[in-house]
Amino acid sequence: MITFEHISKKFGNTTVLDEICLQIPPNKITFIIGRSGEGKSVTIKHIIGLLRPDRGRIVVDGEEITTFNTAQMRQHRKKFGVLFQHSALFDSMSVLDNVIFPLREHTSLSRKAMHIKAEESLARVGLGDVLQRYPSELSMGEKKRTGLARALVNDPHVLLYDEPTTGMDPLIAEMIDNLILRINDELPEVTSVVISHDIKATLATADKIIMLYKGKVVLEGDPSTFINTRDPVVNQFMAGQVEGPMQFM
Amino acid sequence: MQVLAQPVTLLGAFFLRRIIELGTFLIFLQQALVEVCRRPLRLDRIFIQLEFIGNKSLPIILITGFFVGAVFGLQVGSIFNIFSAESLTGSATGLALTRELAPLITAFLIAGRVGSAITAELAAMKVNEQIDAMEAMGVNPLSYLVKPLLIASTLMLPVLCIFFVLVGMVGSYISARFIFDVSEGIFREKILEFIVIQDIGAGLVKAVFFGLVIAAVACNCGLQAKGGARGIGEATTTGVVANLLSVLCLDVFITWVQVSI
Repeated sequence: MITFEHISKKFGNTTVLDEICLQIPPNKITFIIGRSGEGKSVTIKHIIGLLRPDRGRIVVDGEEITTFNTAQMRQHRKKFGVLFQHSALFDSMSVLDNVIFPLREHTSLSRKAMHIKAEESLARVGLGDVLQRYPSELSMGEKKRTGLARALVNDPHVLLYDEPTTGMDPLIAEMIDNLILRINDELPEVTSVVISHDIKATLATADKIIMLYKGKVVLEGDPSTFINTRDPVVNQFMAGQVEGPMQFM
Repeated sequence: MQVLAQPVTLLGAFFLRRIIELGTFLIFLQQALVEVCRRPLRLDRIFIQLEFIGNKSLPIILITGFFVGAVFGLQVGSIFNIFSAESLTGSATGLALTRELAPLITAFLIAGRVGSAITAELAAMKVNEQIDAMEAMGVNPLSYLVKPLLIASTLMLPVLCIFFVLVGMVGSYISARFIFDVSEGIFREKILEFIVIQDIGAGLVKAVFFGLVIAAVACNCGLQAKGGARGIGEATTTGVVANLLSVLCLDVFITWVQVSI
């Protein structure tokens, strides 16, 4: 269970998170939705301690991480697998070395064992034939899948997906969404948190949805809550309408 | 009064920013040096950086060293020639190279070739979230990226400096031999007479500190990068300028300490 208790975060004069309270249930897929700039990525970065809140507490599996020092935070991060928005693969490493990287840093496995584990992880995301290629030689979808294989390789407890399908064609986006579902089925003990703008995929995939607006949680619940809500802001966002109470910057 | 206040405010803001940058750099340097003393040592990464900073910089060091030595030999020889003291060309060049020119020019070359590459690479990693990814995997970028660069640069600068002096002396000998007709025996004898081990040591001490500072400044500028391609360009330019200024300031300070003791 990941819990945010009255979390606030400002960048300069801009309040991104304003006294946010939310709960991410274990072993489920939780989607965080909202317009660009509403603090979705900031929320994820708080979960893994890449950002510290100005106020409030974050509790992960019973531990308050907001009081962690740097060493404790690094230890805490080993529980997570993160798929970044632009994959964040290391340009200087091959696909295989990118996936091996967390194993080399955190395990004492032999080189051969690491290879086998990395190849298994790549096979899980359907990438068995690009091991020696470099990130610059991969398509967008292959980069995302490599990033996902890297996130999975260290058997994380929590998987964080930062806009996994943004900028992709519908077929690749569908494939990535199916992959998230399949991984959740294959690894039922894993908690998944997905940031997305894709309403169709959100409704089809999520166990829980949290919508952020103006630094606050405007609605949270299962997909049916979002389908049946009368909240005009949520309805406008779900329908993708320009006209409505939601202000555009 | 307001007309006067504005430039003073701007000047104050400028110096305040520089002081904040210096403070940020010193905190970074302290954290990086602590990391250097911690495990894992990362020998494989250190060897990669030794090759990048050392082997790959050697050609430009050798070429520059030769020409600097030759030109310095010509300049000094032409002055000594007035007093019929051209036999001192080798020792004068040797003293200048070992104490000052070799460490300083080596540092400038490495700041330009290696420092800029380090800043650009780290800045690109920063803006492309690769540093965040590393942190998210529980890996300390100071340990994985910065530490090997600091160690390799600190070790390699003195080595490159020695090569610079050696080829510089060859260049100086060619000038002295073929322009001023100084014999090989006299050239060598005067070098051994005037250059003592302290002169070489003084230059190598400078090179060690220059190596440390070049890598630290380059890494700090790279890791401070913000924005996209423009941010990478700005960080690289800032890194090179900051490195050249840092080396010059440090040179004055170390020379002052060396002549004081």
